[in-house]
Amino acid sequence: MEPISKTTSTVDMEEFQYDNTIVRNFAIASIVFGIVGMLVGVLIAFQLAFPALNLDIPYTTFGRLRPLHTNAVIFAFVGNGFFMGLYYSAPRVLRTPMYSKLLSNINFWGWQLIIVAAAITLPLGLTTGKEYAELEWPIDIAIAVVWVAALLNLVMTMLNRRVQHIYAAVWFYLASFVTVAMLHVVNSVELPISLTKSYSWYAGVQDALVQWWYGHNAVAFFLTTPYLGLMYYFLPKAANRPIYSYRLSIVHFWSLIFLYIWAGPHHLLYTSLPDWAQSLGTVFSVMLIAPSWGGMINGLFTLRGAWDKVREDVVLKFMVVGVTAYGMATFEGPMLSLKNVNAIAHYTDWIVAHVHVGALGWNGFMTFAIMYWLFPRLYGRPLFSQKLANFHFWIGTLGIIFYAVPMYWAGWTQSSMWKEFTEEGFLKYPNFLETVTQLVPFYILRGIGGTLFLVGFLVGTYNLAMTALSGKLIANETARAASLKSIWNPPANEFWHSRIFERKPVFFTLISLVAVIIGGVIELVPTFMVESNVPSIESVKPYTALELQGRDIYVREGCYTCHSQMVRPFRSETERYGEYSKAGEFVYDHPFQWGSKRTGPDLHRVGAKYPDSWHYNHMEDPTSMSPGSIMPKYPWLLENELDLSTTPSKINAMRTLGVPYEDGFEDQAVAQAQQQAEGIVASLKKDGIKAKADKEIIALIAYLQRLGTDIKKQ
Amino acid sequence: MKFRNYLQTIDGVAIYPLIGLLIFAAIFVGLVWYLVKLDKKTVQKMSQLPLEDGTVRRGLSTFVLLFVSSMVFAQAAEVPKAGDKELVNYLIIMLLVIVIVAVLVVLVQVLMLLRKISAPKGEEEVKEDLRGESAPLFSDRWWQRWSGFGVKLADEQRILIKGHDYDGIHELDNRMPPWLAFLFQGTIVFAFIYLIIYHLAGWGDLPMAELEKESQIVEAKKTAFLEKAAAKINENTVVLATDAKTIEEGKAIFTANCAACHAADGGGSVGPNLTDEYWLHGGGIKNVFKTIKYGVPEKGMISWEKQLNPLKMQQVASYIISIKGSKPANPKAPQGEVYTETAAAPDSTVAAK
Repeated sequence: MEPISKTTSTVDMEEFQYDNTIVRNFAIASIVFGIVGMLVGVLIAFQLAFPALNLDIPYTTFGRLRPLHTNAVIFAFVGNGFFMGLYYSAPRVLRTPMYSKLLSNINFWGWQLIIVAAAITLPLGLTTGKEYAELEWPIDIAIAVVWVAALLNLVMTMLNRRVQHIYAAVWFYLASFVTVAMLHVVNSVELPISLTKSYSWYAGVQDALVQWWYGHNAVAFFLTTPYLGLMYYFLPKAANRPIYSYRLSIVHFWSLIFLYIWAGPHHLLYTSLPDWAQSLGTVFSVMLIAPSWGGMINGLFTLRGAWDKVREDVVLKFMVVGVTAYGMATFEGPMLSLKNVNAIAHYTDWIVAHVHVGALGWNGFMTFAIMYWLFPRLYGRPLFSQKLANFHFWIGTLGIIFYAVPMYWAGWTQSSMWKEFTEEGFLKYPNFLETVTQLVPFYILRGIGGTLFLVGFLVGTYNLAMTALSGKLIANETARAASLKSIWNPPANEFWHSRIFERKPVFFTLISLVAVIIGGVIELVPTFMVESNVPSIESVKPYTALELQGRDIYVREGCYTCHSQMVRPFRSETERYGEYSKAGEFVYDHPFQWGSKRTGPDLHRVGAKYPDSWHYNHMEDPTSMSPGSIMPKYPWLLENELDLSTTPSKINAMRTLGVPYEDGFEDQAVAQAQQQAEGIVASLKKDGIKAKADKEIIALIAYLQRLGTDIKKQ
Repeated sequence: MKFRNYLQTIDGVAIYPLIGLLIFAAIFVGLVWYLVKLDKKTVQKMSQLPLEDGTVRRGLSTFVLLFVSSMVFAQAAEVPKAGDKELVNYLIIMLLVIVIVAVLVVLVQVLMLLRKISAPKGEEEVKEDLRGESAPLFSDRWWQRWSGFGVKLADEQRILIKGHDYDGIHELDNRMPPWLAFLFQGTIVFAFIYLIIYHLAGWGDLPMAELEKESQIVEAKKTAFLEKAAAKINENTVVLATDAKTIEEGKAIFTANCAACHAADGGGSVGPNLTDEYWLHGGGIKNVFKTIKYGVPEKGMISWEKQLNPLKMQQVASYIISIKGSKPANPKAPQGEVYTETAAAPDSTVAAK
């Protein structure tokens, strides 16, 4: 199809180059960090079956490595994969090179440095304790800088384009950049007390809402929309077919980016989040089915007429499974957002299964497809081995199945066990541990599934490396096209979307920003401004100085990755844990630690339930108190000296954040902490334990013994 | 036979077979009415239909689906384990939905067949534009459009959008598939209805109300149970049992629940030594029972009354009495006072609720 243009004699043909070097760089980064991220994933998967794999050292416990895995696979593997595809496709559909090589390099090197910083800080326990936003404040600033640089690069490229209209792929890229910038900045508002430690500006319920407004939309705008954009480029290219429906791309784009933002509260169903917010989360998640499926439909229906090619072409195979997995996950998600389904699934491995169908199927397979398509073109050589690529496809698919099915089974089993009552009205499995030991075989199977997926990736890496080594990188591709000015020719009856949006990059950017802001404002503002949403409880008081230190140890060790702190209003939970959790109990929790998973029991009412000596023994070796436990050992807590010197600055910071510590308390805080510590040491002595008051374990015990006890003081 | 028992234990389960019966009755009655109203000419035409366009195949496969789904119904109901009525409930609803869908599909096939019958003989298909605007409902053409394939592959070139060439990628001007649009609109309607039910009309139960209802039902059941044999055992009436069976049961309970803090042989570690003569909260069966039942929260001994029924507490208390005087491997130092068996009332240092 020829573009409609003026007579060629008045057209300025310009010659320019597409930069493939940056594409290759991002590809290598994605591969390297993908392998690292998946290796860590396999390790932590097997740690749940064989706790000895925690190695009894602080840096390799599940609690510290799980964030490393999530950050690596999301931001390093998928992130670099996105940039790889972006830097190849955007210039080509806009017919202009990326605006600035400097910005491109800032994007590349900045991003890799951020990842390396994550790899160093997370095992060291330098974490904010908020999922998918664990990186501390200096890295957060770096992320913002790099992200804005990349956004600028894209928008300027759009302004420099040589096509009249902006293609759908670029709408998705743009929305991703705009929205992630907004989400990251708002969720990362934190008050630093040192170079490596900060506290979330928000607390309790409000922090939870901001966190999951961010967290869910990290899924939406980091894992979904960028890859939808990539799908819109690489799938039609690979299949050599036109996009099924332009109109559908418009409808599903705008409805997706508008509706997705509101879905955050579906992570907080049956918690202390106000009911109206929970319901909004549910209904908007359900409304999201069609816009998401619009993407799947546009992808799969584009293959209409090319299905015979799918049989032969491994790239298309990966894409078909990937897009289908996307469709499955975006149906399952809304179903999980219905509160009756959520009541069963929340905190279980069902959610883990759901995540990985999307992550391994959609993000993983699409990344592989794009790499297999790109490398031959970058190096001017055919793919080294079709057989190996097919092997990768099949073993990867097997891997996804071996991952997801055991996790579905495990989730359902555990949830059923938690909820089962005997005829007499007692819990059938009152000991939480019983529900965990049941799951170990499933954890092993899941580890095998993940290993299969990783093996496929390693085989793929070999294949791609051999392809690259057999050729030479085509660092620059020359192209020629007429300048925009010379082809600018809006017809009189132009389709409204083309006229209003596709010709105006800056306007498009602004309107997308408006579209994504609305949901956030409507959900966040009332939760902050309207007091009745977080009813205060008079007996709830701030943490003592020692408890605050203990809490920071809890955050440092990543306890929230296995333990929740939110008792839901179900009889099965009130019988097991105690009174359900109220919003007003969390007002001083900076950050909130409600958790998302119960590999171990909920801890919100653990305060004063067991003696200090139980906790001491349990942290030293969980199996001493809970035979068969899969929790790692934490012996260093008994040896590490507690650094009380940070106490005054922590008190001051908390006061700045609105926690009502008395003026001057920071001067007495250390003494108060030492006194409380001595009390705990005395109680430990009664049970035959000789402990020293200046150890970290004492602070952690103080914190754990405080949890959930304030409401009993009424 | 197991199948029947599970169903019977679900509250209000009778409504489901009733619904099934109503659906069947409605279809049956409707069909009979239609047959009665048919004129002779139409019946004759029907008997002359060739039916070689796949209708028979489709119809047969739908019936197979219906039968298979009802068989699945029977199989799946045996799968859930004893006691989880909620789970069985959901499964049944799911399967009912499948059956309803299958019934609907059958209905649709029947309607299509009827349409074919009622079309005048020899009529040619209305000349359509590419999108088949005037396709009769549930015809083949209609299904094509509904699925999103209104425009044939061969005619695709005509809906290629001019001017859209993005590095060789072109776009077609297909409409959004009607079923997808229908789904989208449906979910929006769902959203409004949901919000009205739960937040405006107050018909739906929000979490607190759900907990209220759940608690009331279960408390009633629990009270009913407690009024039977096991409830007669409390800290004032409990008697020491020394028979082998009680001791054996008591030991099992002890190992599962108490060993972690009191050591497997009762010698104590986190909790006190249970084998010596010294008791913090009184010895003897009544005090031990009371201590187990209410716990000693301020010392870290949890209350067990929510986890162990009174019979079990009697058993484990009896076991504990029975290991008095035994020699544990690592006995904790004595705590409390020597207890001598008198007719005293249970120790008051253990707070009753």
